Amino acid sequence: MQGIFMPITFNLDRMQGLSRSGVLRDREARDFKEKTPLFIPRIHISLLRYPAYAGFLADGINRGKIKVAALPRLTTPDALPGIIMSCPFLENVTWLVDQDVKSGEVPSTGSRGLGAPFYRPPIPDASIDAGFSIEHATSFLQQLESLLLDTGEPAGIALRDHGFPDVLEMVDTSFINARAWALTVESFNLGGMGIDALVRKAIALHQRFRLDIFRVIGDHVTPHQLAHAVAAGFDGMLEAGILTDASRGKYYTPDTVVRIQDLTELPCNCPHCQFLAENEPSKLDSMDKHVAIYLHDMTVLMDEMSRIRQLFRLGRFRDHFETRDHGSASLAAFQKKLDARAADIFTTTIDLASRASINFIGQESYTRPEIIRFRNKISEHFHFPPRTAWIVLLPCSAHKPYSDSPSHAKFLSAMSRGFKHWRDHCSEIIITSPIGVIPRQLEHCFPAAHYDVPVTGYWDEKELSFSARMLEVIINKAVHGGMQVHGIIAHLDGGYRKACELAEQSLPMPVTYTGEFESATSRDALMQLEHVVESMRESGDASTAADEKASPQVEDLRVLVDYQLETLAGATAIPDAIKFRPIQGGATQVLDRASKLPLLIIDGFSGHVSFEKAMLAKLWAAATEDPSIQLKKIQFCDRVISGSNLFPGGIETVDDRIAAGDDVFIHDSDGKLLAQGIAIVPGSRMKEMKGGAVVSIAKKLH
Amino acid sequence: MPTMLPDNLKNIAIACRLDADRDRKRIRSDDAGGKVHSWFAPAMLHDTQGHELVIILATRGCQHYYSDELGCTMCGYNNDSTGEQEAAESIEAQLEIALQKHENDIASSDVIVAKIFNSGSFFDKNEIPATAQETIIQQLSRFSQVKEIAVESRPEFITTDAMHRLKENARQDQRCEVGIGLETWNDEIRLDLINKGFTLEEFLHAHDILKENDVGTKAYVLLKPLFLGEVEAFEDARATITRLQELYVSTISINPVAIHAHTLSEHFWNRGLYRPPWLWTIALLLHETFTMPTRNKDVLVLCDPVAGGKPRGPHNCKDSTCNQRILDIIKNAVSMQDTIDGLNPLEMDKDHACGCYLEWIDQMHL
Repeated sequence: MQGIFMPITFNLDRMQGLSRSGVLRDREARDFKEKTPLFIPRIHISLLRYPAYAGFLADGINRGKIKVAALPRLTTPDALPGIIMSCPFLENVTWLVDQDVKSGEVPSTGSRGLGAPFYRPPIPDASIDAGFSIEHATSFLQQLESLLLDTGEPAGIALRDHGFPDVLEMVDTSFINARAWALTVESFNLGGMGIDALVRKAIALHQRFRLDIFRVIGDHVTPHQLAHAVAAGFDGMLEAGILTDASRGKYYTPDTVVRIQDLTELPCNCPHCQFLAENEPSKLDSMDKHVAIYLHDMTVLMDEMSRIRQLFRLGRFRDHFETRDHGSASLAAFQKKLDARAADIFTTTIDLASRASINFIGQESYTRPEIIRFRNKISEHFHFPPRTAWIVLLPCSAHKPYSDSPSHAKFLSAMSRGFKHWRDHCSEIIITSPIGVIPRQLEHCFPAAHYDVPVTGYWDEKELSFSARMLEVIINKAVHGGMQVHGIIAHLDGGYRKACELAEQSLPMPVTYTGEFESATSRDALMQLEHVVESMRESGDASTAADEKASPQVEDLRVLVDYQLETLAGATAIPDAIKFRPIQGGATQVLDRASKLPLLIIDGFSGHVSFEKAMLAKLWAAATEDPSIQLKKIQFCDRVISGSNLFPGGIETVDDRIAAGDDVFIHDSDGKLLAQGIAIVPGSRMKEMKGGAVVSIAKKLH
Repeated sequence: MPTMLPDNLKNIAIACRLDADRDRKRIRSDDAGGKVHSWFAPAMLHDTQGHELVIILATRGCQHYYSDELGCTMCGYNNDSTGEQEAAESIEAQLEIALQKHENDIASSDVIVAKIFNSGSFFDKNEIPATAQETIIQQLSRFSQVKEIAVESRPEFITTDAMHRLKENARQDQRCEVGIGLETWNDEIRLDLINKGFTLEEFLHAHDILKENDVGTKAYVLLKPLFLGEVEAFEDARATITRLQELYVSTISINPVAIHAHTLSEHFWNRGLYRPPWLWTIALLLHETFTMPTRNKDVLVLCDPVAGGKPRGPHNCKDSTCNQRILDIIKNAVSMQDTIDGLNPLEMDKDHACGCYLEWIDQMHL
């Protein structure tokens, strides 16, 4: 699998669910670097005689907005120099060239005028059943394999599936995974009714094809569908159907498509719309007007793609994706079904080390990949600290992190008044929607401190069940795991209380409600909280002397480290005597009091823990001595790691549990720890890749 | 050769044939006058402009269609066949009726090409008995104005014997030509997509026999068979025309697909999975044919789109003006046997361009 030189490469740099961002590079033209996801226009040689079109292209290419384009099908690469001579601005384009599979004809690749060939099956154009499509796809791949057998050339491959997901699900992928740098799926119609088929395709694309293949949609996609195409895992959209839309007077806005004849004014000031506005746009009586509509539509498309790229990098893509759901019923259906069926995939491909704020506006947010992963991670890897004799349930607050909110300040004060050392015996769980529950120890972690949700007081059934279910899971896990929990105190109102009541029957002990009140922050309510906490002290259940245990801060830090590393390493690696020191950027540094060595830094915004060398050494030593401490490991082929990234070629073995965003420990064949980093892609998919960084190195230990 | 159609398509083709059988019962019951169709119209001959006398005889129909091979995916000409062997007398009677009908037309013209179509192969004795073949040619040779005789046949029926029957009954000065539905130079497309049932090699063998007997080959080129997209169809047709010119056939007849009833093409067309070719594509193809460096001016290039401008035929858009304009240009170019202003869509005056032109550019990836 390794060793085939790919002149054009696609490197993933981030995954969020099925969607990805990355970079296209041309190894032979070092200045060519194009960020993805990407819209790829076709250059219509036949329209170059329209000044508006030529100007649009020249402007886009000169400003660097258009770097990759598809060469017209009937224009051979030989004809390109002549075309460039008459339109010099086309010089700086990397071309994707359609190529039929013909015996004996292998085009040269990689050079900057010719660009990269896409092999496309000439037939069939239509199909009435999946078997027919699979048969022809298989035959095409076999022909391509024979054609390219001796050349070692990488291939861009276009698959014709005629809308049948069976093709992507069942075609033999061995040749594609061995040799493809790009894969085009020619049928992916987000405007139609076959949503199930699209979801199946998206999942098959992720599961069956090498992760670092550049995936392209060859079907018609409008601006308001682009986000869904990216969410399905596509890295590029090849222009299709825009000219047809323009020929029919279809006018794009970022949110929808309308007929220009139905508009009384144009909601855009681009030069093309200015031309239209001056020339009776509703009367499509000249080719110049059709071309102007086409150029406007292209502008909207390219702007939307640019917006998506930026939002992805800012960690805000999901918000945008959900907004676009409202573009049509089919888009909303696609999002719901994709979230439902790809939930397992999301747990390995969503990075929880984000720094973005996220909005949970509608029901589509319930199944956000971040939420799915966070809930799963809490359910599986959160444990109460050893001091927990009582579990206190509190409502969430608008202000995050909760501890900094006025309401929680009141709760904490009330509890302190009831029992000064309540913290030495209690763990708090904050009930919230739509995440479910957030342990106090994790309240700084993404997305706990980073979300916003409309507060209406109304909880629907799903919201109640998320919280109830999570309460059941973490409390039952603790009690059945041997934790001596004496009771659960619930200081909850409204929907928060309902969620708790829903869980009550499944909890291993009764819940003590602090009272009946409309607002948990009312004076009466706070007094009731104070009294209940006081009675907890008087019950004698909280009698263990505080100085016999590590401080709550130390225990909470261990819980956080265990959660992040997904293994019980904190108790061994973090000493009792530590010091917390605020540092720049709102972060907190933790030092070993005895050695004064820095152990870790807690990011003030994301709550993510970065480990210093001393801590890494301790963790590694702990894991070496105690096999129950299961750090996520990668064995590297050498004894020294150079550079700031790990690439697939250097990997000998990899832990399949690794998910994107996880802390990974890189060691040599002798078991010596070389570095620690953050995974960019799931561990189970690293070795299949041909290039691109798979781990971002955080610390080297040599 | 067994059908190359996969089972699912075979079943559809069988169903189409059963539908057509219902219409055939009516044709069988017609008398000779009801069975035969004919017309007389201006036409290109090899050396000059003249007229065509077209006679469509109702015979049993194409052997390929009625076999287990189930016929070509686009062909509905057998909808006009009887499905049963017609006696020589019946066929001869049909011819006689047609000739009588056009007696005045024939007399009014100096130069006529007589085209005999029988929805199958003229030289298939099971379709047209040998004696009827001879009678037909003899009858056509009676008219001095008939300078050319054109019939059609599958390659397997083009034999030396068949050529003798043809040449011995035609006048010496009459140019004879046999149309063969090659459709495409590409065996895979012809066998798998069109289900034609004969190979390129068989066509070339038939062409050799025709050449040896001084009979012209009229090669039919199908534009946009089922399962081929617009641009692939254009490329295939262009490649085929290039090879045919090198081969020195006497005529290339470009036949853009029209949707006939009771065909596989119609089945897909009804479901929105197939669209007949654009008139822009035909225009571009003709322009490239007339201007290709290897253009052989001895080879006559014909193109007369059936149902041009209609939804079932090659068309641009719903605007009849747009369709008719291109159809007229195509017709003029064919009559000139050369490209003319307005034929090349890539250089079209934008004042004459319809909005649908952009949709065509989109489909052709131009």
